[in-house]
Amino acid sequence: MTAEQATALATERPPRARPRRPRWLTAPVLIGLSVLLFWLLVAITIPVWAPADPLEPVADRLAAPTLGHPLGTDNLGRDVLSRTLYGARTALPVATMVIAGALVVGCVIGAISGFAGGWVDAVLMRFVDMTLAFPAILLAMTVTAYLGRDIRNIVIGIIAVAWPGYARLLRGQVLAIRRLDHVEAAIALGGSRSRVLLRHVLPLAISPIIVAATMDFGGVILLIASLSFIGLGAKPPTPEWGVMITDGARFFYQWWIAAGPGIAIFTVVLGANFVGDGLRDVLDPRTRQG
Amino acid sequence: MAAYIARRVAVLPLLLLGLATITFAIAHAVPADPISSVVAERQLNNPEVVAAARAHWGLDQSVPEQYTRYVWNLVQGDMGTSFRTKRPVRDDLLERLPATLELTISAMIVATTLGIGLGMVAAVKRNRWPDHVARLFAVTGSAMPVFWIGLVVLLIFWAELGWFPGPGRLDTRALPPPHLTGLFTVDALLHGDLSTFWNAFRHLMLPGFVLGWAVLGLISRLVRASMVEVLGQDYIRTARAKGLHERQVLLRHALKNALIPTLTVVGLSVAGLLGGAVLTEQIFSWPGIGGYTVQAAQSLDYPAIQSVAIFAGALMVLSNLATDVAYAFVDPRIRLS
Repeated sequence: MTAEQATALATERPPRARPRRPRWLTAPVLIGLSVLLFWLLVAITIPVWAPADPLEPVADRLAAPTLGHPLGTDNLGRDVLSRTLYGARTALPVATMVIAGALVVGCVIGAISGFAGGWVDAVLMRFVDMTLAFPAILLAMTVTAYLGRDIRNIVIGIIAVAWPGYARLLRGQVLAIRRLDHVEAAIALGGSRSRVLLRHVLPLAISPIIVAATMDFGGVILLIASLSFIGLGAKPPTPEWGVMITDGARFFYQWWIAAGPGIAIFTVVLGANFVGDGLRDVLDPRTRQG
Repeated sequence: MAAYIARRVAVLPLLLLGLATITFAIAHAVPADPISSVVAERQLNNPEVVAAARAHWGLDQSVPEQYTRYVWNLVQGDMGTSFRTKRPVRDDLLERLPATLELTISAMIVATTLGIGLGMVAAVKRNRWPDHVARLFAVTGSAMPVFWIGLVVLLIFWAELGWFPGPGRLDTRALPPPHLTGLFTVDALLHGDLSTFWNAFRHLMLPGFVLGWAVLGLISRLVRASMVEVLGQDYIRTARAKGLHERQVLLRHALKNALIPTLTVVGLSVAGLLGGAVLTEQIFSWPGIGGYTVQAAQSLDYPAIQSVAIFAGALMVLSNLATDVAYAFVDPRIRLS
């Protein structure tokens, strides 16, 4: 996004004519938001209405789906549906922490890079390029493996591969926006760098970063599940989707064990991608297509 | 052109050094002590054993010393010794590379043919049902965890319907073809052994499709967008006006131009393919680098994990270079300088 577009976006007011629904609320965005909202509600309220205890055996082991246990039971006789629903309590907060962490690290580095310029900028950006040269899952895997098997280390591992994208994005924004008159004026008036950045630059730079973060949410959910599937993440008996699919792969013919977590991941990722796409179409005019 | 390629190749060692530095930095920024994964737990209290192990693995040296030695060894192609297999990591990787190459190349073929086909159909039938179906198919592939699609596909097409063979590169009773390239399909063909070729080919289909499906979204999306743009150009109107058949207009005039930007994205999907291969191989018991990586991660085999990361990073750097060069060949408007 160029500076002009950014300012245009920032100063744009919604039209007075009475649109039936906001421009960004297209069908996919609506579906995506509903799905995400569903999982958010599940994550918050599940302890109140869970069909069964996610950690305790409730029926025969590896029992096929029945009315009482719509997704059957796993190898320890635990209710797969309850475990799937409880999985949202791991996946959503962990993914949010990852995105938040990556945003903070990425924005700080990006801002430093954009404002400092010179060799600081060059070094930081080469580092960013290098990090982006690795396939994300392999680098995240390396970091997580060194830190040890734990869901908290997965967070760190994924932040380590996710921040460079934001850093590069914010740096570009800062470079474009710092030349705008109001920023130069703020600097001329003696505003400190951090104040200028937070008050005058960031508000204009934020929308593409929000779009990127939304679009990344689904990918992060997938990465968390993948690392857990490999065995680097949540430890049993935590109901975590990736770990549950590992169990499903071990008990291959009991298809219901992996069905729940698979569909859960699929819907969350799909929902996040729909919302991200919709936001991008509205906030980033370049990508609007026929 | 030659000068451009020469300059890009000249920077390669620097890039590889950067990759090595990053993995080394990760290994040393982390408080974990690798000694605990090479020495048995009850021996950890025995200072003699620990000291001997440290000396053996070079962990008793200072960090700069370790770094110099690490980079120097890498330059000589020595990636260290795996904690788990106790063999040189390089040998482990080279042995498993052909299986991974065969899988990723098949997946790449699936991803590009399906991706271009879907993108084209979507652009031509824009905003009508083929467009929506194509998008749904692409989006579904990228939103499902690849290891889960693998399970589902195996369950349906192998266990239930029996249309495709199960995990592995060949039927259990079949012998691999004589080793030339290590790609079973290619080796079998070179020896005129059609039954082994067919065997290997059928084994490739499910994992290749699964991995290809996971990455084709990027390609189909871009083909659609650039096709839509190209179809609005004057020269397309001219081609139609002079009475060319619609198929000719689409394939010879539109697709050719629309494919140019797609090249970049194909290069970009190499990352997704390499990452996805790790998980796909695990599900399909594919004896490649991916499965090796998972085992390395599970047993905290640091030299192996680190080497795979560098190896994959190097592959990506090379594929980026190849993409850029190919781009220049295909698009005469680009002057590399």
